[in-house]
Amino acid sequence: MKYFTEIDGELFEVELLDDHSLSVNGEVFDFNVQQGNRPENFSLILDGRSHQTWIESIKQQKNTAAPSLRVHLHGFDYEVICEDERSRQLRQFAAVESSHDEEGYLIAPMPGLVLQILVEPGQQVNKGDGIVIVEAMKMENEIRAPQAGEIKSIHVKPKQTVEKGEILVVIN
Amino acid sequence: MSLFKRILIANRGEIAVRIMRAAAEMNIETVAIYSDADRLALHTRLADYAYRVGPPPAVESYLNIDRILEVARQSGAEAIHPGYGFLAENADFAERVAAAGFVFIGPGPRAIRDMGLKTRARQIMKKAGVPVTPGTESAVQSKTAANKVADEIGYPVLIKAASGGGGKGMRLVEKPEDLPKAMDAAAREAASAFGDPQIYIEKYLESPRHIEVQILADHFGNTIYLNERECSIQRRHQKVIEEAPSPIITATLRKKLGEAAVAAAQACGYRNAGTIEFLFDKNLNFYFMEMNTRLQVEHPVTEMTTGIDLVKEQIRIAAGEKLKIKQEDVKISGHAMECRIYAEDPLNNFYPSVGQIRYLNPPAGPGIRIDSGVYELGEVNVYYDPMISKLVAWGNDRSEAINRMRRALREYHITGVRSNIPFCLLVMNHPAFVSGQFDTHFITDHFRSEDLARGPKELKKVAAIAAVLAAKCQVNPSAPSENGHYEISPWLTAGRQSSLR
Repeated sequence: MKYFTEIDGELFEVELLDDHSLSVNGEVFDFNVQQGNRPENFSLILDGRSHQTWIESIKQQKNTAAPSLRVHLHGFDYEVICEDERSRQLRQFAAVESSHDEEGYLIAPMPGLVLQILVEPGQQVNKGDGIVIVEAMKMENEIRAPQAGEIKSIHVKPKQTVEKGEILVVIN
Repeated sequence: MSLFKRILIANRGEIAVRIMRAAAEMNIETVAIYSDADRLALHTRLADYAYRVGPPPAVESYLNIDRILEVARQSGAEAIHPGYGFLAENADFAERVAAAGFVFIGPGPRAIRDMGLKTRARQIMKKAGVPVTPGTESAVQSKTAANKVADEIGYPVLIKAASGGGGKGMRLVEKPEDLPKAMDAAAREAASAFGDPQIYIEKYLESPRHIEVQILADHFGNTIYLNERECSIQRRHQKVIEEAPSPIITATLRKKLGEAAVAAAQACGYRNAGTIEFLFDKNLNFYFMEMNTRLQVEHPVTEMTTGIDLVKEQIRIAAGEKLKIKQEDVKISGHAMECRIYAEDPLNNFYPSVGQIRYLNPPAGPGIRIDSGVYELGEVNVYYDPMISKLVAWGNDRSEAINRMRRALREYHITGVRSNIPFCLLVMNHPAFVSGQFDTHFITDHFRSEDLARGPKELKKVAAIAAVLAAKCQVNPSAPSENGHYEISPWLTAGRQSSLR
């Protein structure tokens, strides 16, 4: 079975050859994997090297995005997009179907209290411009524009509490 | 003189736990206060007695003076330790504690009040001969006056809130034409953050280091310094990594600095443990910045290098004991490094990361100390500081301390919430940090969030393999639960995990 993974835009094609060997971009490794005392804890021995790893799934904002895992390894955190051949095809198909996608939604990255809206509808913004200030745990956090564009609509107002993942502003 | 039988800790989290540990070792009983969000918190469970003080928001619980004093009476406590944050630097609280007949484990209200007002603190220090940064010793009343001062001391200048701290109500001004606008903005911010719009001006040091001195003072006129802590690694004026001793301080300079700190403490009639923060310029000239009239977050690095338990000393001093330690007894043994481990996402602009701690595997082994207030399956919530723990590594020298810290950071695993561990590791590996040549701009100058995900090329391959095998093993990565975690019963696994630390 073939799997497609992507880390920071770099592609790694992983193929499971049998129950103790696999290949990554054609390079063959001997492996042994055991789940630890937690479902997200794995001990992986790869060509004799022992790796402790913690793996969590990341909730996607968009339904059409590929499933993503966070892999904690030797103190580094990697976000790994990971899918098998079949689901990759299915997802690509689904992505075409819903081409009016969700780009431009400014989402609350954490729960908190809206302190200030820094923009007005119709205003032009650049990527990285401050849009909304949300307070969480006594800290003020400026939520910035993920892209340039025009502020289409504002969905929150000052003093309103927001949940993680809630739409704050739509940028066109 | 006998110590207390029972003390109340008016705080929560790691510092409450830390204080309780010292008290337990002195055979003093402890009283915890808890909000509804902390019924199962470590400090609530570790204390001998625990009393509810109110709902989760701090104003209704940990800042609720009336209720805390009521609990103190009910519980039969003789003294109150405020920890840091919350009411620790509230002079009114210290006053009311004393008026209600309890001992406040900390300085007197006058010292708290004087040092809390930055302009007053500057006046006192200047009078005592402690160097302060050039600037005003009282609030600036007009833009004309401000202009004159700024011209005299030279740009760039800093506008600061007289009642301020933590970077709020602070503005950097590079040129005269920006001054009026910056003054208005700083005053506005100061008014909303501290209820006091007064501002003052001081010279801005270009690439300063933040170095502070720990002092202890008893009620018999003895004041000693326990050497310095280097706290230049900061993000948005918040310390992230601290160490002792500072890599740039020589024995001669340490003595000069220590004596200045003692003079500063004596100038405000200080009792108990306190910290004088100094700014160092490139030529190793130092200037008084402010005094923190409480136990500091980073106190463990001093404890690890001097062997002195600061909390026990605080309790002894408050109970009226004489300092047993003489200045000449204070030695430096090895080097200690502290990383503040926060529940925040370094890949996402360091936003706080709230949620349930699913898995917690703290490091252990030689030379490692962890002061933690969290526990597995506990929640990191929006009400309080997002600090998970303080990880402290001790080594025979700085390089061993750094290597030990790296090792410990790699052993530390937390899932459920994001943490700044990868960020701390990046700092520990950075040549500028390792060389000891850095200033308070270190993070702005050197940190690029993409470096966090970079890692060695070989590791990426391993990460890809691990992801595939994990996905195949049993979990269904396309169906995380509402908060992004796997659906499993926490109760099944909780029993398997080792007991609370």
